[in-house]
Amino acid sequence: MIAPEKTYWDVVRGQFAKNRIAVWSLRLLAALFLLAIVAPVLCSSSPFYISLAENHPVAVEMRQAGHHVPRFPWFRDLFDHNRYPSGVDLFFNLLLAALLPGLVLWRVARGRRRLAFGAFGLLLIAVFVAMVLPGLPLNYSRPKIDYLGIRVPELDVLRADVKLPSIRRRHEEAQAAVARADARLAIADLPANERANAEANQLAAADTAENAERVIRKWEARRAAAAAMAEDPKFAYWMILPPIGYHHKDGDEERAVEDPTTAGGWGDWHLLGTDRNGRDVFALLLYGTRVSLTIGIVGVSIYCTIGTILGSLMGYFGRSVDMLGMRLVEIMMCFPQFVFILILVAVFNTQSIFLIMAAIGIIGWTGAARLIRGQFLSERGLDYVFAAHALGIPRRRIVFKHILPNAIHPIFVTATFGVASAILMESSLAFLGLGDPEVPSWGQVLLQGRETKEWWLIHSPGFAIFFTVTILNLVGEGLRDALDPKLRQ
Amino acid sequence: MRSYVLKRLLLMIPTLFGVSVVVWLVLTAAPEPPVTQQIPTSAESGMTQAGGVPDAVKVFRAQYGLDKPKMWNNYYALTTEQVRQALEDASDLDRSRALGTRTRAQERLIEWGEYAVPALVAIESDTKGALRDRANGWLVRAAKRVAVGQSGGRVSPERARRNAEIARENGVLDLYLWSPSASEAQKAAAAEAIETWYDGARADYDGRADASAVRAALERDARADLERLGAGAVPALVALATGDDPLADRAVEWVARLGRLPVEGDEAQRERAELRNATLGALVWKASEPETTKRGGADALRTWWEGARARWDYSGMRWLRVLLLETQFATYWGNLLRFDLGESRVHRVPVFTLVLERLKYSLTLSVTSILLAYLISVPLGILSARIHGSHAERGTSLFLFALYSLPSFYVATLAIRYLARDQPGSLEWIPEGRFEDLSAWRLPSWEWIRNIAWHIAAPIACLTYGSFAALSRYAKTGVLHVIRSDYVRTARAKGLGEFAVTVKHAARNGIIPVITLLGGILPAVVGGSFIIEVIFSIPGFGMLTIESIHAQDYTVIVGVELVVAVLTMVGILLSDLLYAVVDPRISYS
Repeated sequence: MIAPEKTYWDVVRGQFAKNRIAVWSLRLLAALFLLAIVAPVLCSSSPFYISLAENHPVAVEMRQAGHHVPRFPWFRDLFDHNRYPSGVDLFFNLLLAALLPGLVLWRVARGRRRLAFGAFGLLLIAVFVAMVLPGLPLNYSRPKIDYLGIRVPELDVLRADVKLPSIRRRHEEAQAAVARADARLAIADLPANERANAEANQLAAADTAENAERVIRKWEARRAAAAAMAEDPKFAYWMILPPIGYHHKDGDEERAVEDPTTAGGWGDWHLLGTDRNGRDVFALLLYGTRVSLTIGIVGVSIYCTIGTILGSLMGYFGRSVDMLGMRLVEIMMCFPQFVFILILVAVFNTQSIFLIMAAIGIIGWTGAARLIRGQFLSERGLDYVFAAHALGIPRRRIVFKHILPNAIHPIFVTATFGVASAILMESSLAFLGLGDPEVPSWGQVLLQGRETKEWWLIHSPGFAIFFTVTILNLVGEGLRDALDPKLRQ
Repeated sequence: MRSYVLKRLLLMIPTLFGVSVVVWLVLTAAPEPPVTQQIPTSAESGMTQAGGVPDAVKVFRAQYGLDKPKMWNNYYALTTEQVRQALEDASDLDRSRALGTRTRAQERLIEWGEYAVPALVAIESDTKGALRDRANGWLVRAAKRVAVGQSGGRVSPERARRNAEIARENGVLDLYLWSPSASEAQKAAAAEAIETWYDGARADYDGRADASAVRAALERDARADLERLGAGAVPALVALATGDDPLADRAVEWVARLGRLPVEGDEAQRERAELRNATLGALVWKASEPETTKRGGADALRTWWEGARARWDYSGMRWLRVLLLETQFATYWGNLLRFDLGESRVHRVPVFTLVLERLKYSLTLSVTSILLAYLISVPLGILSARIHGSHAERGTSLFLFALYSLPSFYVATLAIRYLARDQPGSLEWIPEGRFEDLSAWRLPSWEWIRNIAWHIAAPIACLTYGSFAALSRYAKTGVLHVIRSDYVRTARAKGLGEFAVTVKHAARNGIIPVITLLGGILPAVVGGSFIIEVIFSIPGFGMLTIESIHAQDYTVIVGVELVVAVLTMVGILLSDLLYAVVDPRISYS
């Protein structure tokens, strides 16, 4: 027996590890994935724990309907189709549910990776069967508890506290304007036109002031009512919330387009402000990460599969197969990818992220196909292929079992860059208003930023896209350098 | 080299064809635009219920070229049995079929269209009962042709004549329908038919009734009076029916009633009377006696069929014509050859004109951007090769890499937000978008160009910076590749300066491969320009496409796609040819 040599992938890993930037990018990428998985832990309106007063209206209503208020609603809501209608979210929640047991398994089965993988797979299936499947039938109906509704007294106080300062400022400004106009009118020899101007200003400002006063009174009354309600033992509740107690769908119209703030404390933070519908931008971005990563990875997987198969066939058989395949590649290359995807999405006229994934997958394969074809062209003349032929091994086996493993590695570089550009395409589509409006997306938030001109709505999604694309590209760079045969030792 | 260029040019032909096929596939994948939105109201078009399908659908399908099969048309080989089966399924007289079967059969009959006419005529003549009624309905619907080319208002005299002919034939066809609701064309055709009939039957009516008396009776709708006048009133009634008179409808009914001959006498006389009465019934659009009407209609239909049969004669090579040319694909290709991409539903102009109009904006952006990218990044690449390995070089490439990862629509949004004129708290360096000022065309040409340059500087910057990384990297590796070769060392050895060695000797050879990158950069720039145009409100292809997407103007969307693809193809071709010119060693493989 020969002593086990370093495998090809060991060499690659060694090369990759030398590139510090790439290694850190990979870690950041892993962190991003983790963040996407644990999104509900950070942003959700379902509390981890809740306890309501005995005669709280919600509790009473639930009891009358024959249900009880759950104590630990957060975990149950992970697989609630009312709260997470998208399959992407369900998948990530499944991963989240299996995360801790998976880690434990990993520690226990140390070294025996296959066992760990198998056990983790079984775990995923178990959670799927137990939690997700029962919800899948369409007639699914579970009483939906409005946790934000339970928090109404507190939220109303908060809303008033957020709203009142700006209205008071407006009121003061209007009063100052009235005073200025009064001062101007007091000048005896004011020209007639300026006098008219000042009078008009005075009237307008007085009107504004009056309006503002009315709004202030309204909000103060509302605040007082809410405060009284919070005191009322009937409405008493106690809950442990995630730090941002809002799901990405929970919009509060009265707090639309609001600056980033930590007002209200734990559970009521809007770390990155709110959007035009009063939804929390941080939650939108966090859940958007899930969508972006999924679209990137699924779309790229589709086109890498297509490209690998077509490229292998083209490179191996050559001649007419190659000729035909290359014509097809040439034809597809005439269509700028983004334009083609845009048009496919437009023509099918259904705004779904799955359509976007499919479009990316169907259109993007040309690069992968050319790459694999080139690899095959150089591999097929090598001795081991001749040897395989001489042994009478069937062609299918030679192509996919003998040559392909030697030819496939550059595709990982293409795939990594591809995920970055797929994410860009998805956010571009959403930015143009062609994404799925039901699904949170970075581009969609940026579009709002473009329209409202508010800095947090421009920079937070912009930076999220930039960050993700950069780390993906850096990983791709590192991978390319590591795979480059010139550096092989 | 010459053979390479020639091969490259020849290969363009299948590629072009392939591009058109792909665009066509997208076009056919598009769901039919919602019919209800598009068709005019029934009052305008004279919608006719026949076989349960409004004719407006047929007009609509013809207009969008959807009334033919997609790729192959083998309906010339439709058998009577197939059609009968579909007809039975579609009419479902014994109410035993599922809804799906019924709808599918109806759709199939619509799809077959006029190709089912011979089979329907056969069915109609040898079937009895309700199925025959259905066959009749479908037959009339299928045999009618659609007068096309009327929406644009530019109809040639020849086309107009053919349209008139089609309208007349359709009117006649409607007469054979058992119970058509009257449309103007039908009434005209009916009047004409009555005239013809009266020419032949004049001898039987002596016209002793006074015309004004008849008119008065009709006006009062005095049944008894008219009955009393009897056959004598027929000439006056015919005059009323064929004239442009409000009483025409009623007059026709009375012609049909009073013009009947008594069925008596010998065999020949009876037969003649029966036939005459039946024909009369067929001429009237409000059939009062269905059975005889049907017989008369069938008779008349047969006459029509004898005359029109040539349309459905697939002997000789005609079937091949049908198979290949009477398809959606052939229609589409025929239109393409005439540079006809259809008409925009929103703008009401031919798509080709619209695209040409917008071409200048997109072309300016893309071409300038690519030129700039090359002009900046190639020197940068050469410089990087010179200082290869230094901190400055590494810093530059990292910076370019960051630029490459920076999404252009984010940067463009930032530019508009913080640099454009009308934004709160911005630096006001650039205009608020657009390609030029609205009144720019009035400026002298130099000023005008400056105005445009000022407007498109920011969009072009956003479009260009992404290509720097790849291009300069390519240039750098190219130069590094040759800088160690013998001839460069020789150049250095004979005492040439560093500049001459790097730029004149190494770089000129080293940067050749950069040209090949154009094929990759061009589509990226074109794609990028779509979104940049929208952000900076430049009315190029991108804006046009997005506007059309929101207006569901599919012809424009697909037209733009085709033009963009062809332009990209030409760009790639040019870059390949350029490469062959610069490096003649290349051969096609």
